[in-house]
Parts: sequence; structure tokens; C-alpha cells
Amino acid sequence: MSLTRARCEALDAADPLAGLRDEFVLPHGMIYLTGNSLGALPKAASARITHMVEEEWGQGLTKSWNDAGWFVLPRTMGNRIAPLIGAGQGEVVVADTTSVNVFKVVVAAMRMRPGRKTVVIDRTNFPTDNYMVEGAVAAFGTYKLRDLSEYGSADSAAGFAFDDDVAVVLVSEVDYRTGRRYDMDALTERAHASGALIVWDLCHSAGVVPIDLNGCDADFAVGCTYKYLNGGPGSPAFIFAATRHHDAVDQPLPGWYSHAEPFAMEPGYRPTGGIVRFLTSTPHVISYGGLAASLDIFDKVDLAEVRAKSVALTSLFIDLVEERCAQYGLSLASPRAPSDRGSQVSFRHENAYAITRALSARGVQGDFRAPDIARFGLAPLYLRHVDVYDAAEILGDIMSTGTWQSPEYQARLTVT
Amino acid sequence: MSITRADAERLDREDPLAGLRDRFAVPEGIIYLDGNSLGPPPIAVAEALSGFAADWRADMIQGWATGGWGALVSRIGGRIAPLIGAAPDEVIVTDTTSTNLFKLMVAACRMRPGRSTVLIEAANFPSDLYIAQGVCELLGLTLGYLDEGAVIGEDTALVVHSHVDFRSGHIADMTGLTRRAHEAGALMLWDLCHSAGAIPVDLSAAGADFAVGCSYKYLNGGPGAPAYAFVARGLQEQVRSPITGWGGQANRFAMSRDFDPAPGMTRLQVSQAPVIGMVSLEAALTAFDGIDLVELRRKAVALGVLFAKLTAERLPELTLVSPADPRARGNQLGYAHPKAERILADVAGLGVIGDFRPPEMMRFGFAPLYIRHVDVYDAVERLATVMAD
Repeated sequence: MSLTRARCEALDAADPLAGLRDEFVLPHGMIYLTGNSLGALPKAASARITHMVEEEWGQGLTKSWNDAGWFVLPRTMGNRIAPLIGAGQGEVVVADTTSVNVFKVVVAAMRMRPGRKTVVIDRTNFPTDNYMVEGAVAAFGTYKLRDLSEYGSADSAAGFAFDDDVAVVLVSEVDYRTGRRYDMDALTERAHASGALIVWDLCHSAGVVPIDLNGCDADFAVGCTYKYLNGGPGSPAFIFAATRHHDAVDQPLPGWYSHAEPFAMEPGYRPTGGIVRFLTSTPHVISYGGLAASLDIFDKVDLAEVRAKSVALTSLFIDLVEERCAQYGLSLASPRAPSDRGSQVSFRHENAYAITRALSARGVQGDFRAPDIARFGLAPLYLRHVDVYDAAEILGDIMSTGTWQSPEYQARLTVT
Repeated sequence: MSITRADAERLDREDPLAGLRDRFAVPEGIIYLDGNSLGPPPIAVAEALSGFAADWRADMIQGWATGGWGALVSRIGGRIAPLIGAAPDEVIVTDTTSTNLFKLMVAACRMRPGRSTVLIEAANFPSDLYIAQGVCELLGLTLGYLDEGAVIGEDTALVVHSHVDFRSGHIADMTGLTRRAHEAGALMLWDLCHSAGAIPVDLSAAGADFAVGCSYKYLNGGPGAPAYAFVARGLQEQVRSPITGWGGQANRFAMSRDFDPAPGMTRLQVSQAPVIGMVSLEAALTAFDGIDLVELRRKAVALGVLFAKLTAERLPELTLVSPADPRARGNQLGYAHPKAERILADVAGLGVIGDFRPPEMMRFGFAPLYIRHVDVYDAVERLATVMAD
């Protein structure tokens, strides 16, 4: 039986998270299904940033390193993100970018397993993660890269078996193309069974999937804060390291920020203890403003509820789209079982690019990922069931009328 | 004959650059002699950021395209280029100074295979030293210190040097040292953190290979604003950064499996640019619009000379650590005193902000964009008041 719009309205009326939508600025006349790429703007962000510029920077100047807590922002923000990813206080810092953090963490992990000369990456992972590892491996010179698929099947994490040459495994919890979600418990356990360390990339899960890094005994993790964490375009990224590894960390970008006595200006590097050891240099203070505003919203949210709504929205979208579009060559690229996917739904179609452009012209903002994926992120903090319904209706209309074939939707823009 | 406050006021009236102070939000009642550490906000920044919410929404709507972070990156590089004697396509704004130093040091060492030594000054900013130590550990190279007897030679892959010393303000001989490095077949990398925007810098004339610098000191980009990197055009295609990210990929959106470096400086970008930081920095750099750097430097020298003269007259117990010759120092003065930290704290209570560098140095920066001659006069007055107690 087909779900009606009225039923979706009823679901919204009963949604315990419905009020959170008011905390965000959303573009008028648009159904924003790209929150998995760039989260929406928290209403409080602008005022927060203005305060940082005009009061903290303008009036406080260098005193604000202490008085406004600028110097410790990487730590204080890390402690605020920690509960969202199952980390303890003092296990997370926020600084730099995800890529730079991948580099630091992977090199540090490689050094913790001397004698082991294999790094395992996942060729389906977001390419920059793999480029980072390639760069790190090239700098060391003596390592080989192998693909996760050589060790087992992605269909069953328990099926992976690593050998004792594997130093580090780097994988994303949620796949950026398909939304496929790995079993963190099982894969972490498989890595540890062979004596390897595992690094989790949480870019596509932090803030929308309840993550329990310590519960699954993870070693390291990285992630960005501008997708489901809504920190703003290019806001700083995070690093998690389990406390048991802190003293063993020897990271490749040792700057003054992680010196045991940063203001002693000693000529030799002496690393400080704890997670701060992963820091390098002065953080970009103003970029934390949007994130701070967003985390104020997360303080009011139970992630289990967020996940429940996320599952409901993605399942609803799959059902509605399949009902309308099965005959037009759209095939589900995301896992069908809700437990196996994050908060996005992807469909394959050989003309996926033109379809996303045609949708955009009708006010439905999804995005395209090469070669043939139309991707829809469903951020439960600000999306309603009716948004999902309307988006599916419009997609169905574009497919049944063939408007996506119009020439204006075929040429590629710079940023897809 | 002693200089009076009336003299300082007259100098301000005659100062052709006096109006530039209006481009900044300098707090009332504060004499800010710490612009060498963190520049104050140019007025244009708050204006640019008030439009930031609109930018974010534009990014949401257009998926990063029209908010234009890609264009922002190259535009800002083009704004910094003339301040450091570079061409617009030789500069990229990205990451932090330390991260850029890491990328360029590794790239440079790879361009000199077989050479096993990197040279730096032990007096350099410690973070540069730590990064250099990290690079040498990673690549299995030896780090030598120029000020501890190391000599540039056939085994030297790279020489790293600060243009202006962060403590004393001493200006290094950029042309001479670059030439010595090149004569030995080594590459030369300059750290411009304490010179860019303060003194005229001419990387091209000096024949420099690489440079890095921060944008939150004399460039006023805001706390921790994104840093920049320079590579001489002729070397760019040889650059292989160890931090190979999506941002430096030839075709980002093809999501191809292997890293293929983008042409030119873009290859040094790692990932998504911090848009708020870039927007602020771009606005901040408009404070330099229409300014002749030589004239700016002339004023800075005058301010430094005035401070040094007044201090020598009234506070002989302070020992000048910076070069006595104003042409040999940047826009800052360092003084040693056993109670430096205490004196700075007391004078801050009277609204004069300098900073402390251990073990016993007080440092005062004279940013000519917003510091007046009367500020210098009043600062020495208040120091004298504090030290008389």
C-alpha cells in the first residue's frame, strides 16, 4: 500500500525531533538533501562568529588566547564531540583537516607497528583517504598497500582475515557513495586479531549514526565536522586516539602546539602527553564558531532518536522512489537493510548526473558521485517526512516525463 | 634634545599613512604593540563575515560552486603575491604554516636525492625546528644548525631560514643566503611569518625556491587564519607533496583511484578550504589596498627608531636585543630585562600590549598600518611609569 503525503504529515506531527528544524537556516523553496556533504547553517552561528571577531579578536586581541579559551579550543571542542562518537574526555582533538589528520594518524600507527610493512586501504573509500596513505607510504618508502577486498568480503565483516604483515587498516564506517555501513565491532576485532591497528574515518557517520569507538575498542579515528555536524564549510576536523595509545604516538607533524612546554620555545621537540600530541600549530579560531553553535544543538539531542528518525527517513525514501521509479532504470545502490547503511540513499542510473541537475532545477538538492550515482543525504535534524515525500514525487515526475534529458542538464559544473 | 609628545603629534599630522588606522578596529584605550603576533581585525572582516551566512546558504544551494571556495583560494594567493615579490600563480593559501613547511620541506628534499642534510638556524621559531626534525626523522636525513657551525655544502639538500627572526627582529640576507645555497646546489626555503606585510619582501629578486608564512600577524587575517606557501614557478611541476589530498588532485570530482597532482600550486592544497577563514582573510587583505610597501616600511622604521630613542633616554636599564641599525631589523624591537614578564604584565594594566618571550625578553611590534607616533610616545611613558614603581 502506498504511503500518502497526509501520512507523512502525521509522522512529522509525532516526530520528537521536529522542533530542531527551527534551529537552522534553510534555503527557501528547497529540499536540501546534501547535508551529508555540507550541513545546514545553525541559526546561532552568525552571531557566534560575529562575537568571536568583534569581541574576542577585536577587543581581546592576544589576551583572548587565554581569556576566550582560544588556545584550548582544539581540546574543548574535542571533548564536546567525544560523546557523539563514543569517546572519552581527553581522547579527541579538533584541528586541521580530515586529510591532514589521516596523514598524522596513519603515520603514527605505522610507527607503532615496526616490522609490519602492509597498510590496508579500501579502494571504495573516499579517494583522499587513500591518496593520503599513498603519500605516507611514499614518504616511508618500504611499505606496500593492499586493498581490503584481498582479505575477505565486504558483505561480512567477520569474513575478513588479515595477515601478520598488516600494520594499519584504514576504512570508513559509512561509504560516501552508497551509504554502506561497516560493522565497526567486527572489523576492529579482525584487525586486532592479526595484531594490526585500525583507523576509522567517521566523516559520513559522525553526528547521525551513534558511534561507540571505545565500545568497539577502536584504536584511532578521524572525521570532518561540516557534514552531519553542521560546523560550516571547511570547519576543522577531529582526531580520536584511544587513551591506551597516547604515550606511543609519534606523529609526523610535530609542531609547537604539541610540545610539552609550547611557550618555553625550546629548540628540540618534546611531545606533550595525551591526545594533544596530535596537534601541530595554531588553530583557526574563527572556524570553530559555526561548530560551537552546532554542538549547542547536539547538546539537546539523543543520538538514538536521531538514528531512529534517520532510519525512518531513508527507508521511506527508498520505498517511495522504488514505487515511482523502478521502471526507469534507477536501482538502489545503498544497502536495503537499514542496519547496514548510514543516513544517505543512493541510486544508480547511467544518467545520474543529468537527473541530479534536473532535480536541482525543481528545488531538490541531491548530488552526483562519479560514475553513475545520485546521492541523497537525509539529515534528521532538519528534514521532515514530507520533504522526503515531496522529493520522491518530484524525482518520480522527472523520470516519468523524461525532463532530465533536456540539454541544459547534461554539461558538468566545476563542483558536482 | 628630547622628543616631546607634541613632536609625536606633529609627526602623526604629517604622516601620509595616518588615515590607514581607520581601516582597523583597534580597541579604545589600548596601545597594541603585539601586531607581530596577532594583527587586529580590519573593519572589512566583520562586514565580510556578516555576509557569511549568505555564503553558507549559497554553498548549500550550489554545492560549494558559487560560494566559490576554489576561486577564493587562488584569489587570495593573488592578493598576497605582491606583498612578497611573487607572481599570483606562485602562491597558494591553505592549511597552517607548519603543515605547509612540512609539505615543502619533504618536496624539496625529494628534489635533491642523494643529499642527506637539511640546514636550519637553531634560533628559528621552534615549530619550524620541530617540523624540520619530523621531516628528517621521516626521510632519514640529518638536520644541521647554521648558527652552530654547520656549513652549506655538497651534501646539503635544503636550507630553511626565517626572513625576520621572531625574537630579535634581525633581517636575514635573503639574496646572499639564497645565492650561497644555490652555489652549493641546495634549495632555499624562507619563512616569512615575521616579515610579510611588515617589510618589503622580494622572493623573485632573491631567486628563492620556496617560502611559507602565516597571515595573522602583519597580514591581520585573524587568529590562526590560513597560511600560505610559495614555490617558484619553474619548480612547481617537480613538487611532490607528501600530503596528497583530494584538494591537490588533478580532477577532484572524477574520484579516481590514484593521486595525480594538479598543475601548479593547486597540488599543495590538501582538502576543503576553511571557508570562514578564507572569507575573513580576503577581506583583511584589503587593508593593504593602494599602499606602497616602501612607504609603509619607512613609517615602520620611524616608529621603531622613535621607540628605541625614547627608551634609550628614559629606560637605560632595558637592553636592546634587536639590531641597533634599523635597516637590519624588522618592525619589532626586543629588549632584555630580568623582570621582563612582570613589567609586561604591569604595563598591560595601563593598556600597553607587548609580549614576552622566555627567558627574559619583551617584544614590541610596530605595525605601521595602525600604530601612531603618539602611541609609541605614550607606550614608553607608561613603561617608565611601571618601571619607576
